[in-house]
Amino acid sequence: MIQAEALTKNYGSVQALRGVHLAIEGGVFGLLGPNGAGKTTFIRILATLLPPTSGKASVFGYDVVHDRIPIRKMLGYLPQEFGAYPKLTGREYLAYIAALKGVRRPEREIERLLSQFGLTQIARRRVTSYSGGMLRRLGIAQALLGSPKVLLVDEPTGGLDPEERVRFREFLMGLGGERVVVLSTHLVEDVAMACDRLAVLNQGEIVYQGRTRGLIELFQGQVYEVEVPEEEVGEKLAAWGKRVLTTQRRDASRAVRLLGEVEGGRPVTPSLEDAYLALIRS
Amino acid sequence: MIRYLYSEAKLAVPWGIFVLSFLLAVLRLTKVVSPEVPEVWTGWISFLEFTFPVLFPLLTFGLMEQEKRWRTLEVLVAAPQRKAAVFFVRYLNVLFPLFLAAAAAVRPREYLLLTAPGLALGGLSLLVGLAWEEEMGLGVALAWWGVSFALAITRPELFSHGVASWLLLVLFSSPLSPQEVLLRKWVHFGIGITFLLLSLVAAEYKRSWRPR
Repeated sequence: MIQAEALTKNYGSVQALRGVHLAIEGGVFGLLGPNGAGKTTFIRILATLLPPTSGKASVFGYDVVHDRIPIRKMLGYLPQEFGAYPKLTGREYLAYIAALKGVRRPEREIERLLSQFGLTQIARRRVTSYSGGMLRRLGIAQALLGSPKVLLVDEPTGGLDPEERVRFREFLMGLGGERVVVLSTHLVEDVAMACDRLAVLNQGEIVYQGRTRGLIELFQGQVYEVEVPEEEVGEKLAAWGKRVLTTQRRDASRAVRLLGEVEGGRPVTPSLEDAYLALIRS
Repeated sequence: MIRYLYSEAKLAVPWGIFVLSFLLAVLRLTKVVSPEVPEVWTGWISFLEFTFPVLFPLLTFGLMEQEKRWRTLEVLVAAPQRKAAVFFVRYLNVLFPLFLAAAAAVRPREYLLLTAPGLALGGLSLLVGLAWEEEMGLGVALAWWGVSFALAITRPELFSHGVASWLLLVLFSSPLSPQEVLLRKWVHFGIGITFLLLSLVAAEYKRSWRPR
């Protein structure tokens, strides 16, 4: 449904994408990677906002360079820096985007989306009075107008408080089905909760693609946990260096998770965060 | 369609500029400025020919600046609607209060005197702003306007020479006949429309604003 072949994108001398090969099928697909990995560049290429430097990408068989309009007709897009026209109310904004998307008689769909994303009560308020969470919900509502076959969502939970973040992930979980949803994020929890399949992008290259569970299985038996007294933490962490995945405070000690065997450590089942960090650091 | 046009008007029209139309209409209706007093009227036309056109690039810059500030371009570009059509409607919404102000300020035969250089400056500002940077667009337009005014004051004889007489926008002190002035204003109008059409091509391919 979405295919990328040897996709590269350069900004001057900076290579943002380096020969990305990726195939995305239906459902919610996670695109995970650290900041600056090239996720937004990849999403913007799929959204026909950026032309690639070389390589090919297609959405439902349409080329992102030559078939921009057919792609835009089947696309819902929530950019990383989403902004709405502050002079419009929430309802007016959705009606405006519906007109841009060519949605006929959008009233019922707008009311349904307002209700689905908990915006009905504030639909008559100007967008400028919305909180970050409300604005994000309005953003996903506009992306879903016209029932797009492809939904591209770039860092949707960034800057949200924990409650809004959980709420947003729940919205995302329900959006898959027949639709292709690409969720770009640097937050492992977003992917862990919402996606069955994912790709990990690091320094412009895909370093993993497959099932979310598969990434955890990849590091099964390689992640160890060791309890370190608080006074030795600094020295130990420095000695272990990049092998350290996560640390967790426990009374007078810390539970440190590392990649590879360690004296006094016990093997543990890695979390998705452990596996992701192990992948990025190895 | 009506709802779409209403939304475009609501988000783009600089409502405060209608005060200008109102004030100009008051000046005309109270006969503070009137064609019946030729000396006052000539001064009034000269003043407006100098000041009025600069509102076009200023409002054009305002339009682009708010688009950039609102961070709305990406969603707009990713929608299937033609961007040129959207920008055209939006730009007309921005210019509408200025045409209204011109209609309030002068007689129909003098509309072109005010709006033609305005369209040329606004079109240039829009084209350069969309293709490169909005500050650059405003700067180039203001430079054209400023040079025209400076030369109109200091070197009015230039207006009787070839290219200069066609490219300079402020013609009130020129030795040109009314017919020659009118012809040049039509040329400025044509330049403005050309810039506008080129701007629409630029708008169609506009995908991001340069970060400051």
